[in-house]
Amino acid sequence: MTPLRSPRRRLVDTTAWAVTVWCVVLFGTFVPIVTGRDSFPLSTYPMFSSPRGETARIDHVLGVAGWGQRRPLPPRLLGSDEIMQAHQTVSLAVRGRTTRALCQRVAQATLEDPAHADIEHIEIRTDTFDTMAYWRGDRQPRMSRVLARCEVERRGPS
Amino acid sequence: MTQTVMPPDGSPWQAPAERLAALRLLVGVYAVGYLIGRSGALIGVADQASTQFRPVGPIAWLAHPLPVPLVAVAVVVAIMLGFGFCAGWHYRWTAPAFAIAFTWVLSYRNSWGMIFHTENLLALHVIVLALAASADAWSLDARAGRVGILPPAGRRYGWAIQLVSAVTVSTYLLAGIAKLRHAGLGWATNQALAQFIAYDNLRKAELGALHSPLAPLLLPHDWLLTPLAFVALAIELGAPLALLHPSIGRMWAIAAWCFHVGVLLTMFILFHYSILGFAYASFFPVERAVRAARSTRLQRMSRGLERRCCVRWHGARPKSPDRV
Repeated sequence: MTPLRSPRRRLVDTTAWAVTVWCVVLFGTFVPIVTGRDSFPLSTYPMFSSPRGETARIDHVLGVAGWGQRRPLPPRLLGSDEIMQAHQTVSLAVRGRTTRALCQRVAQATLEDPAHADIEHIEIRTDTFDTMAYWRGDRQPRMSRVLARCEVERRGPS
Repeated sequence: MTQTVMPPDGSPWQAPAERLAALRLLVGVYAVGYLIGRSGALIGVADQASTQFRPVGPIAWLAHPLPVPLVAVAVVVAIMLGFGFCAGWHYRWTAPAFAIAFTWVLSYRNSWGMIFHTENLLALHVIVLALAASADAWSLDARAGRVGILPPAGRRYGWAIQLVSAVTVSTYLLAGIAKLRHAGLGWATNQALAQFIAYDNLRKAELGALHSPLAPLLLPHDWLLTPLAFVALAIELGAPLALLHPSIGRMWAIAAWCFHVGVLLTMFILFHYSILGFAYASFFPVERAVRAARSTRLQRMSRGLERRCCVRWHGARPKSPDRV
């Protein structure tokens, strides 16, 4: 049979455990300040902290319809429902110079999506916008660079 | 089960076992619900190109992504352990195992080039609750007599609740420090918030996602955002004050919740754990809400039983008091 601990002994044990857990958890929470590393679950919480300039450089994937009209494609065509994950996919492809492969993948996904049956080409671009002017109605990019362009190969009725 | 005596409201370190148990139930049910609700995304993320794999946190040692079936098994195991955590079943073993599995699954999802800062606090809360005696009340362990007689309300439970609160305020303080580090006090004065709102919504619009309908209305009047930036920074840097007294803690929690509502309205960023209030549960006597919900359920059950008995034995429903 397990011997019962006295209330005093139990209090000492609880206090020692509580102090240990407090120190370890709080120390761990503040470690990223020293290391400067954003990780999980310990983080520096850098979101919204670095000042943004007056322009925004966006790596994104556009679908080009038959009449030349471009529109951004939803994140699910890039393999994720999460907008930020999809954004990261494009940015990493741009940095890793693998935009061609990504373009082919998106073209395949577009082909299988009836909501985008009018899309004939896919473009991976880096566009630079004036952030404040954008919300005053001036949505034309100040600078554009097409990094990859590929066709959505639709076969007509045989 | 023994019901512990309620502590005086003025001492945040003193708490009944039921308060910690209620916190375990709230955070646990949320975490398991999150795993179930997001299981598609949690498993699907493993299907991405391996070149995107940037392992973080406890899985930083992984050199290559794991096969998708293995990730699916990890998610299922985490969910099963989560049920044990919520029910308080062999808590000493299931709770730490759930904390490890939950952190592992979320770390894996955050290892694809993008850290979702909406999940950090939830993972930290699960870890703290797993390390405390959170299943001394309202649990299968308590029902089976595995926890013995409950001690009176005190520090045995209060320290863990205070640590959950301390972790919450730490994350806000760290976010405030990050802003001061990168932009100084100018973050609140130099239109930084307006530029963030403009940038974030533009990015969403150009990436084919929904953006805040408020952005086009608010941004032409960007002077409105300077006081809001001050308030946001004050909530973050002033967060440790919330630990001084329960009433300050409750006021801070409400202010922080409003801050997240503002983020949702202006940037369409949903900090789900905070917006739904679970992140701030440790600042409130949550056991009262759980107890009220339980007693309402019990009353309803007993009323239902009474009615059924009357119909069976007397062939009539009981007369309501006003008809007697």
